[in-house]
Amino acid sequence: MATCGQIPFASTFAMFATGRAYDQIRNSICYPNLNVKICATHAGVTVGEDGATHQMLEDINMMRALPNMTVMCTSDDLQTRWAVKEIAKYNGPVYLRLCRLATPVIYDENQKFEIGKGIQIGNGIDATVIAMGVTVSEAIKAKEELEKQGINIRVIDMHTIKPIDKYLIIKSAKETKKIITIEDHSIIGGLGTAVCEVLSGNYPTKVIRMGVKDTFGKSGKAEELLKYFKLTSNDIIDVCKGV
Amino acid sequence: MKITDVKELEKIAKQVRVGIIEQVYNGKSGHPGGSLSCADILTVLYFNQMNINPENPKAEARDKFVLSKGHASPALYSTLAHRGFFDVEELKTFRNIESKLQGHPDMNKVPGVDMTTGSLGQGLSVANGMALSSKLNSEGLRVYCLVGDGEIQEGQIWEAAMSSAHYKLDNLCLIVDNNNLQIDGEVDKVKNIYPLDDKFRSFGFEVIKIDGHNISQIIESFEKAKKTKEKPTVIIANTIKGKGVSFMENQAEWHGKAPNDEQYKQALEELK
Repeated sequence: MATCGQIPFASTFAMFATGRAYDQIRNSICYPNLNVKICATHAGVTVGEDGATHQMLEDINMMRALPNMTVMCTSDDLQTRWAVKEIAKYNGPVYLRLCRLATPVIYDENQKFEIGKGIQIGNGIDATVIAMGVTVSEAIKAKEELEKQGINIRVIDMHTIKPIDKYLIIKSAKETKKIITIEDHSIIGGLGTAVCEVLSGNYPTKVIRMGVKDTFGKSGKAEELLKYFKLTSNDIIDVCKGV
Repeated sequence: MKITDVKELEKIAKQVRVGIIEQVYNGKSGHPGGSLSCADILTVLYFNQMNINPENPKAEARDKFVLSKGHASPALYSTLAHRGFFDVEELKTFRNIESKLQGHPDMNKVPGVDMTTGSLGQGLSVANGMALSSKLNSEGLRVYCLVGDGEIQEGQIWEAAMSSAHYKLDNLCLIVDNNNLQIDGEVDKVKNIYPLDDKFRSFGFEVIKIDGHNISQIIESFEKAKKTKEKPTVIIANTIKGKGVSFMENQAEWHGKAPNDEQYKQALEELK
């Protein structure tokens, strides 16, 4: 339909929207650079009880590797509403990753969003935590807790993973002592890898990548799984303190 | 330009075949067998049936064609060139590094190509989208999609076929290039797809069976498809792989192979 000027929005579980349809996305959407929007839900381990077969952990990796594809992952209700409207205006293939878990509202109506521009929360210089999707609110919780303990970090909500905000990543690496990435996704090929790609070529910095460590997911409640895979605010606090 | 004279169309189909041989010979690779088998069908589509304009290849109000069996690109390129979308001489650049004529069709490089194809099994899904879009916009356009018989072993074709019927896409015409040969041999021995007519009928298609090298029958079948309402049409075109070049006819080995100098000369001689 995109060849005829329509803007198709396709939505299903991230597992099937990317894994099963990879060849179609590659050859019939990205290569011809068609204006198709894939808004995939149920990404990551936070799908919960359905278990490994439904917990997509490699989608950012696959979608990021495709030329012409823009890759996004939003962190709250307001940002998601903005992103859906914004990608409709943008001409070209977009992958928007969404989760199943109900997540806290982070932003208010005054927040400005821009495709390709990360959002910096706080100015701490002890560490930068770069997060996407469900892990952004965990990172903010960690930031607030650490402040009480005299440790000042900043959080970057990297809602656009491709094209990624290189400027903000390099600036943060220069200004803070530590770079930590956290994602409800495999540590192979996702947000952490994208950050490392930027820093290795521009400002070599040690990066601690938090995420699912080359394993499949499992059944359980979403909150339990975040703990199991060490993706909670407490895990971020431990890493920031160097535990 | 609509050519109705059968003799004239047969002459053009021969030129299209010469163009196929020129491409595969000069490109030293490509797929002659399945290109030659659909040359008559493409000739009728572009010279007799489709509402298209080589001067304005992206015109909004035009009929669309999806070559789902993208490896038959030499047939599509040769037809487009002879129809005036680009210079026939350019066919000799097929598959070269500086050519727009990629191994498989690229809609952003070649004027007249409506969809990028090559990964088999995806064309009917795209054609469905085009047909649906035309209906949503009440454009009254027709959409044609050519699949290979080997290709329809792909499951996606049958998922798409369900959609074609579900959305009552009577502006969609699917053509099966039924030459009964695929890269590994005879289609019914590799994985049997027959009976095709019953399969498509049960999927909700109007089924027309023709000799895919008989120009009059091809025209008639497209005219009949236009009159079918509330459901899609499939034309099962019985064809001969390698049609027109004696040593390529019905030989699976000519699925994806270029002729040498001697074979090239003989092929052109036979197509005079």
